[in-house]
Amino acid sequence: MIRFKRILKAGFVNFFRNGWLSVTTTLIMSLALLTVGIFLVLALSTNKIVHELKDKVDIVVNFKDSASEALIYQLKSDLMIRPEIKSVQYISKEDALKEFKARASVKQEVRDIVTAEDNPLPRSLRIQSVDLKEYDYVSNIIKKPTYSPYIDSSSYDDNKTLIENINQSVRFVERVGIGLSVLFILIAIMVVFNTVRLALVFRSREIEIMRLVGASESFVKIPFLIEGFLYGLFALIVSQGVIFGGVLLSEEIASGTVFEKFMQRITPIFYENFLLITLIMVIIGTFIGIGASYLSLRRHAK
Amino acid sequence: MLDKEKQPIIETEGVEKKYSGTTILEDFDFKIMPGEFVILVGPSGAGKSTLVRLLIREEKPEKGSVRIAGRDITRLKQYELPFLRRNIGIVFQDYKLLPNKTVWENVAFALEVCDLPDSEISRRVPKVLQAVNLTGRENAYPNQLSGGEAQRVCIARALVHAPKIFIADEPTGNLDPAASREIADILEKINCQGTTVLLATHDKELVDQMRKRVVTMKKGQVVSDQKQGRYNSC
Repeated sequence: MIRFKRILKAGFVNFFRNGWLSVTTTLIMSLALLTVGIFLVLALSTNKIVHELKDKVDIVVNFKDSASEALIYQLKSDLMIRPEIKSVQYISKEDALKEFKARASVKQEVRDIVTAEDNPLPRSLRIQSVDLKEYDYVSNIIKKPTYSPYIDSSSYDDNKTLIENINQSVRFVERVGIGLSVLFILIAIMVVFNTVRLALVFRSREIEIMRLVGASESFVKIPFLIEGFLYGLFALIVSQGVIFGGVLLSEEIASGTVFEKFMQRITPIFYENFLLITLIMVIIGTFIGIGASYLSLRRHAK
Repeated sequence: MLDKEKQPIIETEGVEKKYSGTTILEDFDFKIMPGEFVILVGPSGAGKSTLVRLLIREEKPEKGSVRIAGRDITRLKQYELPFLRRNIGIVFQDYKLLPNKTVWENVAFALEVCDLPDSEISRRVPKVLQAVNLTGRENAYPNQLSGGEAQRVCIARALVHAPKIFIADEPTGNLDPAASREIADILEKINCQGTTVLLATHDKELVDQMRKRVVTMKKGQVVSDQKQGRYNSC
């Protein structure tokens, strides 16, 4: 117990007395964590925005008046089999009318023409899917000869290019994001490893002295690991502070400009995921700090 | 079977040590009895420092045995080394003080590694600092000390855990005559309290003043061993 207390204390004391060395190492780690953090915020934001976008893209299938109710319900149940399809909503002529009347943009003259007695609005199915890939499935089904003669039009064809574009962008953003994050984490590990190694080479004399005075291995090494942990901890506080400040500042700058809407989307995403981002950064920070110290110790403290 | 009192505290037998092909020690035999004060002299390169390094197992010999209190330390495992070193007080020519620690902390460190309680540490450290005349310098860092002061901190650190053996390798190498004399006095005091002292030096004046057992080394071998010797420039 007394040994544990002393080893812990030695780690803390070393960290604070090493001054510039601790500061530089902490700053380099902060930069690494900052990069990871910014990528996390951006990745979460694009993800969220893309999901919102996906929810807005739905397929509306309009039926000819000749289509029977049974046929419409059969198509609906056919589509519902797929678990990926989130919802299929049947909109009857009456519903369509209600919706139409509720639209503020419709002119009064047009509104008067469309009445319950003479309703030109088609019955339709409104399909929402979790995944953009499902849209192909939907289009295949509605093109089947059983259904196609009764279908007036579907918004699928109008949205097809849009959907494909979104699909491609999503894939691109995901791949580039993951790739860059991995790259930056690797760079961070190498930079920190090197810094800690230099610190150890610089202090190899100290390690030697401790051994000659009769310090056991744990007494020599664990304080270095604690120092490594502290680098990670302080780097976390610094980088999280910078990101937090950055978000607040950009909100401030963006207000009143075209970016205001954009920031209004980003900020809540940041707050909602604050804990998650912190957790990931704690894991990465601790891992880099302790891991790099451990690796350097194994190499240089024989 | 020798009785405990007659057993040498340090004994080397047929020790051979080479550094990249050059033989430093060859068939080196030598004994020190408990409570003795032995001065090891010899020109640079005679192997004095190598011998000291072998005694604290900083190095291992190629051949032969090094026995401390009857135990062959060449066979110690890595994890046993701290225990050996805690029973030997060592003073180095270049002091080897921890730069990040104050005088007090440097001395206390030798006790902390032995897991002594804080109360015992705060009892012993002031005593030993007083013994080496460093009271009042407790909070200084090594780079704020003079050579003589640094060497006395090093001695204090070596003494604080009351070792059976005290080894000093060129402790006066970087000091002026007055400071050297002070160090010599401290070593004699330590010896008077029953600690075995081995002093490696090439400080002629110091050796001639002390009138102790002098072992002269040359080219890795003992060339003379006198009971009340003088510095021998052979």
